Amino acid sequence: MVGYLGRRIALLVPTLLGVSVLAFSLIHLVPGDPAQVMLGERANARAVAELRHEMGLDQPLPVQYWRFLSAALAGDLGRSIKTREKVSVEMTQRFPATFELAVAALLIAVGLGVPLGVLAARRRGGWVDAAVMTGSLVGVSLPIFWLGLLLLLWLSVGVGWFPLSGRIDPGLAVPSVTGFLLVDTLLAGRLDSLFDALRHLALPALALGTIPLSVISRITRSSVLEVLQLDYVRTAWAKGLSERVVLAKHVLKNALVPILTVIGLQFGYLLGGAIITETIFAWPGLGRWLLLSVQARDFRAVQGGVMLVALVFVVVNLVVDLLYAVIDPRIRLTGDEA
Amino acid sequence: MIRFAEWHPGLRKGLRHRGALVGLALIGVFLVMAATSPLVAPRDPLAQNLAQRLEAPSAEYPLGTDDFGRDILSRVLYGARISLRVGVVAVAISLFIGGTIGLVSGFYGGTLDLLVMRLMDVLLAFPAILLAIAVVAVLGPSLTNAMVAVGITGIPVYARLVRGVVLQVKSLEYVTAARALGAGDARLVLRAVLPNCVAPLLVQTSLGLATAVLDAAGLSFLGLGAQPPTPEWGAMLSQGRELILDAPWALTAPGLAILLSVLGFNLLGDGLRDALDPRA
Repeated sequence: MVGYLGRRIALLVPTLLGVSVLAFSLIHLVPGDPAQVMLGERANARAVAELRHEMGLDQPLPVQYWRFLSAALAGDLGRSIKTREKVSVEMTQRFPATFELAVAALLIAVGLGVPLGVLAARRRGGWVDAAVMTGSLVGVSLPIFWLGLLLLLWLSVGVGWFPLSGRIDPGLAVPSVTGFLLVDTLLAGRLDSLFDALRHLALPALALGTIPLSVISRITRSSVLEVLQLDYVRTAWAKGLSERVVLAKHVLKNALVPILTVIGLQFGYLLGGAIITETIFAWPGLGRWLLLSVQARDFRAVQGGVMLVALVFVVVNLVVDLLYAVIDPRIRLTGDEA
Repeated sequence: MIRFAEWHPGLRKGLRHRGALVGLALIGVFLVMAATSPLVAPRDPLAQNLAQRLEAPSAEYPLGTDDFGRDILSRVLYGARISLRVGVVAVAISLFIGGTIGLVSGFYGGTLDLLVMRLMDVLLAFPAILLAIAVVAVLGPSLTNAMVAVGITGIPVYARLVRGVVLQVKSLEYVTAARALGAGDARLVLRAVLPNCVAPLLVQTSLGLATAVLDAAGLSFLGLGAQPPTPEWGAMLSQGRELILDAPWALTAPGLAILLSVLGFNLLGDGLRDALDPRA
């Protein structure tokens, strides 16, 4: 297991180096002088020269990359051009909001998607199956920005069950300890605040979770169908085990590897989709911040955001790979299949 | 030509698949919309009429008007031209560049293959929409740059797909035999490799068109793609967001248009996969 872990982590090094080169290149691929672009057309020559110097743009490229990389490894991603705040600080402040949103969306997607997929496989060809398959196809085709707007229109503006935007009602705000609002409200012992935070979270999480929900229910269905045909499952039925036991203990466990892969990949989608969702619901997270940084041509911030998201995505996939090894000893022992 | 015959019946089967047919019909509707929009659109999609801002749907304006008094029906019809073009151009970029990379990398193998595939891994380490946003951040927001950005995000998918087929085909006995008989690289690629790529690429292209249309609309929604007043569906929804209280009808048609066109490509791709995948 340790060897497997080591090999998987060693494989990440070239990928992450590549990510850093790509993020570094962002600034240099900008047509024209990046310092001028960031400060705007009307900036005077001295300010531009100062920024060039501050960002080290007057150094040779290898020197610049080396500085960028060593600073990044120490957690220093430079300062935002717009706010003059450290990029790492800005990201740390916003990361919990995005993480909370992504996890909530994933919980919805897995919590509904896996049971629906199992149900569809069990009732193959029936109306439940048809409904799940059709629903999931529409789900993957839905633009989440449209779905988000419809949810707002219907459930916020229309019946008024959910708030229009933000994470919590300002009147119910609690002191920030962890940045994770659901945790902070619990720490403060304020159930009314927790409930309000959940109400704020519901619609964005639902909008963001729709595509993963659809994808997960489809892969669960096909994976379970495949396992249902195997001999040992027939044996389990023949032993007279109940449907619940056969499905939960015998089938699902073996159907889990492809499902986990897809869940890992969907997490990347969630991080990307958060940019759109956060924009619709004015959710103060990393995605919205990244978009505003792109619009302001704040390249230091964009570099940092891009690297952080890629890092999280890569780490999530590593965790998924490790989970395989936990579930399936064959992967752990041969090692190369992952 | 034996290979050709192998996928051809599959293709026929695919065209009898119910889902694929519905998908084709949907795509057909949008193609007709795109082709005929200048003829059938009741009004100029860009013409403003401030006296008739935010009109609810009526006989005069079947889908209502937006905040500049523009006819939403005409804008949605013209939008089909933009979205289909974006999808086709973006997928063409991914297919051509990714396909070439996969072909060369898989065919020649060795260090080149290793390096190229690590590079593809790096691209895959970014969620697609984030990579697209990064590209647009560099190039500047415009419809053309959005197409390029979405095209770039698809490159690793096609590269891996084609490389996989190449590796599989390379190990087939008849290919080894052909090589032993003196067939050159070009001949092997044309006669053995490419025909085997057709079926999986057909499926991937159809699904890729769905993703491309969706992602490009998302970029425009974020203000990073088509710019106002272009009648692009995502950009129309972005404007519609401000009108959610006053003119909810401005949200309906563009969203439905995106949904149905993307659904069409997804249905077609799914149907083709069912028909062409030997495991199915």
